[in-house]
Amino acid sequence: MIQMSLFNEPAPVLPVTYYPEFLNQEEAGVLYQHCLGLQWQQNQIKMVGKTLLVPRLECIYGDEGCEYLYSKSVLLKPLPWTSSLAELRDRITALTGYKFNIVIGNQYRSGQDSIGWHADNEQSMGLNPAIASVSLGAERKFQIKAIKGKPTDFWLEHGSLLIMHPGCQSTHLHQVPKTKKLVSTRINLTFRPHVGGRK
Amino acid sequence: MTSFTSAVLGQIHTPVNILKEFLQFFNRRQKCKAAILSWLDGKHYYGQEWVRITFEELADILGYCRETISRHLTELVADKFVEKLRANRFPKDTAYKYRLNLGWLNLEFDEVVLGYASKLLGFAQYQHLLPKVLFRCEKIDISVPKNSRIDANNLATYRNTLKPLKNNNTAVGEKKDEEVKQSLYEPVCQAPKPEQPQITHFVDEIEQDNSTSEIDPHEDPFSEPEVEVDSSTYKPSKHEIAEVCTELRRLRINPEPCLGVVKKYWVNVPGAIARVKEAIHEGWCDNPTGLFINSCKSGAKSKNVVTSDVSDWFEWARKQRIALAMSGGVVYTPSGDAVEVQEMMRRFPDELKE
Repeated sequence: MIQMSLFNEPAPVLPVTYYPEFLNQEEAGVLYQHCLGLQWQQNQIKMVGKTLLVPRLECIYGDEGCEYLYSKSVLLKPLPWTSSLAELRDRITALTGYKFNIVIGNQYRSGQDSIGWHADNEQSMGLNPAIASVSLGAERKFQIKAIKGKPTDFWLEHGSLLIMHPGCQSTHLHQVPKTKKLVSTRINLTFRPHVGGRK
Repeated sequence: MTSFTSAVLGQIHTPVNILKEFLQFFNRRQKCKAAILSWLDGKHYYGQEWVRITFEELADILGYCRETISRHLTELVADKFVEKLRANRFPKDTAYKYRLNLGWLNLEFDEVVLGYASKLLGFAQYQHLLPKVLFRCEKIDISVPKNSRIDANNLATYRNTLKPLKNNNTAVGEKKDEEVKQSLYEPVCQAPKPEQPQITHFVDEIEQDNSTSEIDPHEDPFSEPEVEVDSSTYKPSKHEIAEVCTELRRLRINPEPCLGVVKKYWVNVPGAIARVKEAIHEGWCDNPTGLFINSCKSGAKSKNVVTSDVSDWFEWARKQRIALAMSGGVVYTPSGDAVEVQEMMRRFPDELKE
């Protein structure tokens, strides 16, 4: 496996590392099937007094007590780790040295499912969290940009791993935009630390 | 709270909201006036008989511009919906205080009479009974926007909900823009009256925002051509033009004089927008409208616009692990170097393609 670091160039620097072949095709396929069976739900967010469904499915697994405040309005309680997710978590930790307590899954059912510009800066993750993002299924464009900067486009492949290093959430925003292209389901697992809870 | 009492309308049961009730009186027109009336009604309900407020303050609360509030409030006073007096809160206080003319409203706006009149005989025969304001606009038949309900019980919600209207719709001297936008949104919101799109467009915007596919003003929409079109024959839809108009407004460009150019040189529009963005970013653009129109006509593009050649090359390079990511005219190599895309295309030319 080749680690493709983006840190060496002085400017512009992206605080991410992308491993396009983190999982081989077979591993990724098995994990994808496993993830399809997770307990997905379509959460709601409140915006200007309206409650609306988010355009994707989500699930959360993790250590007991690691509750996650979603969109500053919905408190999600994680389900216990499945063996596959725990194994994947340990594998990422072995590679990167970062430890994770929860994993939030996002399922983008079609090109119309998306997530807008945001930073994963929930307080429950502590200051400057490192976040690992495993992509499965269809390839989708992932954009990251410095706040007030220009976006950089990645195409996150089946079985790839993207690490957003500590500090990234403070300085950068990221999104998975909608696309008019015909794309099938993409599952994204984001492993995150959590300051509370216990294993 | 399951119900509340409106000063004008009597007992109201949720989820009915007072704005909607007022709009029924106005045959779903005159939304700004309805908002003013319902706001005053809320003040009366909470015990305030006379409400001292300036146009600016009310404009801020309701999400309209000062001129719009001034015009509608003046008309409401002229039509005797609202009474006004000098506030005289302090010696040189120039503001006015207002209250609903409840006696007159109850007399002239009896729901039974109005409903009967409109249903059986039409408004025309009852013009002498009804306030002039009802006939300032021609009668239209529209459906109520599905998400336009605003909770008058909760003033905070009401305010928050209405505030985006200001950003989306109203700005001094932009009436023509609004008309353009309105015409573009007609198929979506079916609201041809001047005031109607303020609500319906707001709803559309919220849905866009909420989908969390937020259209970011800084986003470079040309970093990947998602859908390629045949520029020689492709005619943009109204929705596509509306999106362009929105983008132009973000760049402080009045879309109205640009519409003809946008339609005629549709294929050049993305490049022209990118060029304007770049010019603004670099600080040399004094006339974005002119630059946009010229760029559309000439086909001039931003330095960072990705052509289909570049896009094709990058697609191949990415699969070969030659490049991992792209930002404008720069690609990131696996070793983390940010290299000009043209340089990379020279280093790894097309001949290497399998």
